[in-house]
Amino acid sequence: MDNTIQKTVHVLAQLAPSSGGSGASKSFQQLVRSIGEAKTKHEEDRIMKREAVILKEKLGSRDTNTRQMREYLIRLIYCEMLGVECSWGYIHAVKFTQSSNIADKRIGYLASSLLLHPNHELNMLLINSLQRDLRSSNMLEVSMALIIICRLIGEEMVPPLLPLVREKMHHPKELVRKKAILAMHHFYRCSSDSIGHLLEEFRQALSDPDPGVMDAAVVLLHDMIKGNPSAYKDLCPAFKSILSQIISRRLPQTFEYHSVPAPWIQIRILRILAILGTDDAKISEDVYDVIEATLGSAECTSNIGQAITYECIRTISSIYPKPSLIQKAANTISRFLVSSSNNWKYLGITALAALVLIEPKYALNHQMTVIECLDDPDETLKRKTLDLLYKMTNPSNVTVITEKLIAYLRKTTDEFIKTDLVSKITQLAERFAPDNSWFISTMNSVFELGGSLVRREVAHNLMRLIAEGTEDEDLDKELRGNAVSSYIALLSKPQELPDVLIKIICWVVGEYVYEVEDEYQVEDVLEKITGLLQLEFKDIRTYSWIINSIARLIALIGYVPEYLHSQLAVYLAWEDTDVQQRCSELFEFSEKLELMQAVLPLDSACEDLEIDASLSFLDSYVSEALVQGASPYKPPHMRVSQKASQSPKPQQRPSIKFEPYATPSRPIATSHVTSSSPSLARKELTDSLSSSSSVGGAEVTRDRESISDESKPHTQSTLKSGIQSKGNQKWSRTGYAKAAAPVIVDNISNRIDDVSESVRSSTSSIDDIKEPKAETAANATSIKGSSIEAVPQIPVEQAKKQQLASALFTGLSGPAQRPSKQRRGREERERGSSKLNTNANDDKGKTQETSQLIDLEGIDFSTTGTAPVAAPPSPPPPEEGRGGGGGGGSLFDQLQVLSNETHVHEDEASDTLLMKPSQGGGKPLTESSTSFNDDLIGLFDGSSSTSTSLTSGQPSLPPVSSLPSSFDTTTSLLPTPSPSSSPAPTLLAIMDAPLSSNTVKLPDALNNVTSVSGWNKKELVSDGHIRLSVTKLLHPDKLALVLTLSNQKQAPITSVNMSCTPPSNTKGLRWKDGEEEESEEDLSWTGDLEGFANGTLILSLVPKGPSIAMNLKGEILYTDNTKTQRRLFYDIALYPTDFMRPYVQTTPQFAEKWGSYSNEKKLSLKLDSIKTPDDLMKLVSSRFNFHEIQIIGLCGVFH
Amino acid sequence: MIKFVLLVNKQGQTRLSQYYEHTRIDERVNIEADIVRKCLARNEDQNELSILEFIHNVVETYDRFFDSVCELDIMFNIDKAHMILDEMIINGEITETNKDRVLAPVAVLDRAAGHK
Repeated sequence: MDNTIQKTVHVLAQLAPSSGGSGASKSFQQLVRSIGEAKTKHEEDRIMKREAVILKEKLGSRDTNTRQMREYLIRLIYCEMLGVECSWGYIHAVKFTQSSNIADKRIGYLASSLLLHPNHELNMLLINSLQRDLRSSNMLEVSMALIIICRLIGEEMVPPLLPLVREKMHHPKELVRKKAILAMHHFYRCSSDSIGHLLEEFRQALSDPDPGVMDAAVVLLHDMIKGNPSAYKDLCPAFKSILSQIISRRLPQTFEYHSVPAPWIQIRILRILAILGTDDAKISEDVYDVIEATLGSAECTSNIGQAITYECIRTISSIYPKPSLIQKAANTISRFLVSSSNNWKYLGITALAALVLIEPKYALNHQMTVIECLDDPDETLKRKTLDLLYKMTNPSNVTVITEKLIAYLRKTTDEFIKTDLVSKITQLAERFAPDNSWFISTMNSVFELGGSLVRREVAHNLMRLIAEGTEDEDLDKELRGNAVSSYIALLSKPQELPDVLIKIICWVVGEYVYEVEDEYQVEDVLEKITGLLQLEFKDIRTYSWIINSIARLIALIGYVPEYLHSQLAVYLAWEDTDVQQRCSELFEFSEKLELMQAVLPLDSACEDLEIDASLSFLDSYVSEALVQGASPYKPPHMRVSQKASQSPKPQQRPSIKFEPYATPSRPIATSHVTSSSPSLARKELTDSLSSSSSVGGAEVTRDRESISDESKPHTQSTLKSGIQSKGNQKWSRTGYAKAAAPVIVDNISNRIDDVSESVRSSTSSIDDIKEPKAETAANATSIKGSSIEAVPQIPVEQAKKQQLASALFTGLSGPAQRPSKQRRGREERERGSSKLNTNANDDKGKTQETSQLIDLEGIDFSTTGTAPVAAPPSPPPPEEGRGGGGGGGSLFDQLQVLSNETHVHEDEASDTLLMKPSQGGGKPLTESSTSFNDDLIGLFDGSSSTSTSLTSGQPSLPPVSSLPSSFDTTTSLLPTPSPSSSPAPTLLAIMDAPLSSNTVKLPDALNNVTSVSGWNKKELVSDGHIRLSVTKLLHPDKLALVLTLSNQKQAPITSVNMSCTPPSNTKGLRWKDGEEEESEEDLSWTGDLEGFANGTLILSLVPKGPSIAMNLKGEILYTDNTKTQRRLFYDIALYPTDFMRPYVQTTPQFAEKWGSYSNEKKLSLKLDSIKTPDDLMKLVSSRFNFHEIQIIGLCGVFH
Repeated sequence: MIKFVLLVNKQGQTRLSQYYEHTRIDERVNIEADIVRKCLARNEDQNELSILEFIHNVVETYDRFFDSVCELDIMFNIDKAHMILDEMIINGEITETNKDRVLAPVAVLDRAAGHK
């Protein structure tokens, strides 16, 4: 203290104005003094804000000399450092870098580097002065420019400076050489390829005579090696020799720190060796001796020596292991651990944690020390010890270690440490739990103490564990009984529980309270659960869980207690629709308790559910609608041709678009229906179904026997063909499904995966209708984060340390024990679920899951690409029955087939769905039945038109006649079909080249033939794989049809057979070999189609007699890449005009036939008014519709 | 790498700060308020003891330049304190620990400022 006062006096004396020199102004002294005297941050703020105002004024004034300016800039640095932004002053700092005085310049640079950042716009102004200073002959100027480059230069400013900096790498002064290499290091960090070509120079710098320059090169190469170790393996001998030179004290003495030579360089090289030696036995072999030597030379009592020793141990544990070295490292660790310095102990614990990963037995020798460190008052040491414990956990010591971790979790208040601990405990419990009841009680503590920090999947795993149990019935009973009892006990102080735990409690108690009926009155439990409604939750969906639990309990006791009505009434109008929904369901059911009990049977969470895949419960609707005159369902391909002639009826009602916009392009001839229609139609169906299925759900689904397989083929084909007709959108939802589906690997889903694909598709249709109500598990979005002291603290008895130690360190010496058999089943599940967790525990995973949901939603409404019918070998369907949380939620969960992982994201999913919760209570069917049929038709209309319009947006299919010049580039981007792959000679690989142009692919006779308007490459049919288009060409004496079949996908399709039957009044001919000859044979094209290839069939139709309505019917058979045979029908409407040609006649020809063209028409004319031939002509013209040509005398010529 | 250096006095008031990664001013204030015990931010894989020793080295260097440094030295000569640090840490890496070499350029600049 005395020293400080003396010092202060000394400094103040120095600063007094009279002392001259570098004396600061009075106001600066005043400022520093007032900052120093400020007692609070608030006071400090006030001072700095006032200072900023003064500075703004002073910096703005013109008459400031350089000395004042220097001081102002330093004061500006103060302002920013203490939290007052002064961006108005930055420009002054930049200007000051131009000063001629080197000290002023340095202040300018210093202020710039502290005030600006690499992406600041003012940096541009620095480039000039930096370039000038780099060229300066004064090494100090060069040096400061290089320092500033390291601080302020962003990626885009590297090029103008790089050549100059490169020159400086060969500067005579080592100070400059060193900083130039460090500037290169900065460039490397800006953009790793900016200095790749200079590698050789950096290697040379490694052998620079100056140690400082060498060190800079080590810094740079360290970063480069971290990026790509394998490319620098050859540098190992160089590093090795540098390290051995350092430890043999070849460097000047000034590089020593506490008589250790260049310790930080040693540490850096050790790190590089660790990177180079990882998984490389040969390099490790080379460096063993130098590491050993370093370890030996560092053995001293100074801190820095121990830091090097520690680094050696880390290197030893990361390179290819050598037992004798590991033993040495272990010995050193023991020395650390017995040290009296906490710093060294800390080092020892950290090093031990690194070492136990390769050799667990070394922990054994230090058990007592570790236990002591656990009880050390030093927080950091304790935390590191917990980390060590986590790393050495095995099945035999997991209970003790978890206890320790939970005890620490209970004490700590640091959010970061809590999160870390929660995830550690969860991982340990999931990996090593000795039995299920231990797992449940451990997880309960974790939820209690850190509920908000737990990943929501963990809650699901817990509920699923309780629901599924093991194979052993008795054990399960006990397990559930225990769980329920412990949860009921927790209900005595519910206000302390986090949301997620409340949800788990509600679900478990609701499902399994009957297991403890001997101990508890269900009525009492119901009262307690109802009491939860009084609490406030962060996640409002928690109320859904509570209401759900209440419903289950009511079903169990068989009557509705009086108080419930008043308690629940408020939730009928709750802000959250899901809560409303459940509440109204509950009220409806309370009228019909028997039905309720049937819907909510005991112990049904794991039952598989059968689904009426064919929607046969809608049959009565359909027949009713048919009776009322609705038109029967037509598959989409039948409707395509119809729609071509009809003008589409646009859907007027606006709705949200669910489809991505098609890439803009000229549409193919088919007319667009407003693109909003599919989503609209979907919405309508959803609405009408949801109103019916809430009723139907109760009747149809619970009554399992009634759900038979007598699915109406009609309905099924509806779905199938609805699916088939889909265009393959670039952004196909099925693509998401493929990505997401394999994630769900679950034993339950295996049981159901024989459900056929089509069942799956229609199932999901039911499902997403149910979705809003089926809100069930895992709304663990925001959960109360309070820590609660609920589980009695496990006492740590100091006297039993020894015992504890032996418990902790069991299993470390021998091979890890296998978990008990009972656990194994769980472990396997865990593995499945952890696989899932890795996908689902971040936002990315979430999107994946969500999109999967959306996908399922889309499938049956035929807006996606390939349909499940044709889907490649299917991943296990994402179905899981009602396992765990999936079953917990809905009163209608019998309809649930989605996995509960999917439910995790119901929040998101339900946003995309339209709910009508108020209809849930069971309104009569008739309400929506009238509109139902129309909706269906609207739905499928919409879907097929979407497919056509969207296909036109295919990137691989540039629209006809657009940009012929881009043709080449398009083909080069696509896999070009090889001509040899065309089995039939007529296969013409024309990639959408305009037919009217002079392509050799068409027979000569058909070149320059005009096509029928509207029939140029008119699309006929398409599915996910192929697309058929036709062009009608008006050949002078016949109609030519060019049928182009294109494979829309990369995958080849095989055994294609495209055949057709011409109308009976025409003769069909096929062009062969592209020549003019016509050969009459069977009108078909067969062959295989490579990805994106085309096959073409050219026909000629010669009319035999006139007919008004003609149709060319055809069929395409092919096998897709999944070996599924598919069939598509098409028909081409032919009109009389297609066969009519202009009739050319010369006047002599006409005259020749004059007599044969006789026609007589009698007409009586009143000639009273006719006075002149002109009048007569007019009359005749108007009555006979003649055209007057000429009047010659008294003769009139008419046409 | 080292992310920033912060000198605070015993009352936890900031006396010097340098950031090697751009940090917004409001974030800086928060960070500095949060750091009471910790003086240096480090990565998980840092050798903490070597960083601790480096801090010692910095202080020893200040000591030599200011002749047993105190808070007021830093406050009145914040520019010098920064320049010394600029020599020792570049790009967030420890680049110079040889005190002679650290102080040589700073001393020259100090003289240049005095002659003015």
